[in-house]
Amino acid sequence: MTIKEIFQTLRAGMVTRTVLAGIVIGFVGLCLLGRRASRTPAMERFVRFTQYTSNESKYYVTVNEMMSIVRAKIKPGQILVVVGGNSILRGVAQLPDQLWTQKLQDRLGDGYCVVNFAFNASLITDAASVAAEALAKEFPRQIYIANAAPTQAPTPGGSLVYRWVYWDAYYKGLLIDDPARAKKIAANMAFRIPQPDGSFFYPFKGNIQELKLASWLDSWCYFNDFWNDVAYSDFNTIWNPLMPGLVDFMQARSNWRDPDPDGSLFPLTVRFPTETRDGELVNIRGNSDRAFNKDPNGVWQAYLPLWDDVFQRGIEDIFPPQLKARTLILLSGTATYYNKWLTDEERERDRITYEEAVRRWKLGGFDALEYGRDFAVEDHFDRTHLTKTGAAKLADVVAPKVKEMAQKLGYLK
Amino acid sequence: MSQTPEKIVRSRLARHAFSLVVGLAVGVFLHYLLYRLGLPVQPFIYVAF
Repeated sequence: MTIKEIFQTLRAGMVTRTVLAGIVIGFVGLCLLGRRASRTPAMERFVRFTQYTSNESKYYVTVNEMMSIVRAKIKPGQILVVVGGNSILRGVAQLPDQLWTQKLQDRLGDGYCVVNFAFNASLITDAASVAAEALAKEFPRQIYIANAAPTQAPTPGGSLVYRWVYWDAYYKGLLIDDPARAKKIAANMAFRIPQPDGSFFYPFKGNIQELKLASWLDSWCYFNDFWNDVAYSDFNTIWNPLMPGLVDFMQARSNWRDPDPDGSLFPLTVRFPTETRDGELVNIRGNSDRAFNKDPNGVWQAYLPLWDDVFQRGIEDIFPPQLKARTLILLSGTATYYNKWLTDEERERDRITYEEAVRRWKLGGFDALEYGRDFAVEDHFDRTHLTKTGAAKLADVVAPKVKEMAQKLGYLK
Repeated sequence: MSQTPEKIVRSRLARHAFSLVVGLAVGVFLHYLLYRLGLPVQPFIYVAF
């Protein structure tokens, strides 16, 4: 029997209307199951996102997954503290029980529920901020914490790498209507840089049309929630370099352990290698070298095109106005290990740059503080990330600030 | 040779059951296809930086 004959026999054995009914039942059934999965927390023992539950291994967390985690974790009456930001706040080089957000939870006590939604390389406006905004109506007593470099203004709607969460929430109707932010996102998409060959480069646009179409379809079909749930709880279907092997990659993602090491066990020569020192010093100087210049009288002057035009205007419409006051921006300091290679002038410039950044964030309606300047060498795992001792110190700095904000915002009445 | 009514009913049921299973499989596949096609293509930092 040829293949053609096999197909003909199979075809003859089928009833067209029943096949079509099966397609509809199968498809709609999974859409409904996806909708159910979106309300059910798969990550019951959630501590933080790992490489196996992030886009690093092609797992694209949905806003509903994050909302479900919060609903499962928070107790009645607690103030919600959502932590976003990058790998520093995600707690790279800290074991789950050493995590700074666990220590923050300990210091804040039962009145608060701290949830760590930070991702590696994510900005203030990325995933965690979207989840917090989507939960703003349900949990209005909330504080959002994220970190940034001193002169870094994030893009509204999220970075190119993480903005899928924003569009996911947008098409599911979970975001606060904010015309100013929408206008700025549209302006970013249209922003273009002429190229020598006459074409244009759109730095913020990327694959936005495909992303919007996929997010719109998902708002009806819930395929992301359903297949993420399958990948996390049952079997993974997407091969990726972090989960290699012909069969091993199919294991449920919940089977993969949090891979971050205890950074404090690494000797200082490994944490701060001589070979990378010059590069790291370039990064440290880069935090401030365009922010302040000395005038002929030797007085530091802020470089206003950067502070006014880029920074202050940049942070203006990143969030709806009502969410600014409940946002705490942490300005992450660099490892004190490198201080001895900086001149007095460079250290001074660094200090006033951080102070100016705190002032500017506050001017923009946010709350802000810097940390790390008084940390010991062993508190850092590398130039930016913290070890368990640094994690404890960060929690010591942030906890009173969170309590102060909660008081100021009227959460404690 | 004519089939008995019982056999005809059984054959119809088998055809419908087979058709339904094939349809369900296609429906599940289409749902999964949307998921895979909808995955963002923006590379993570290892590639982006």
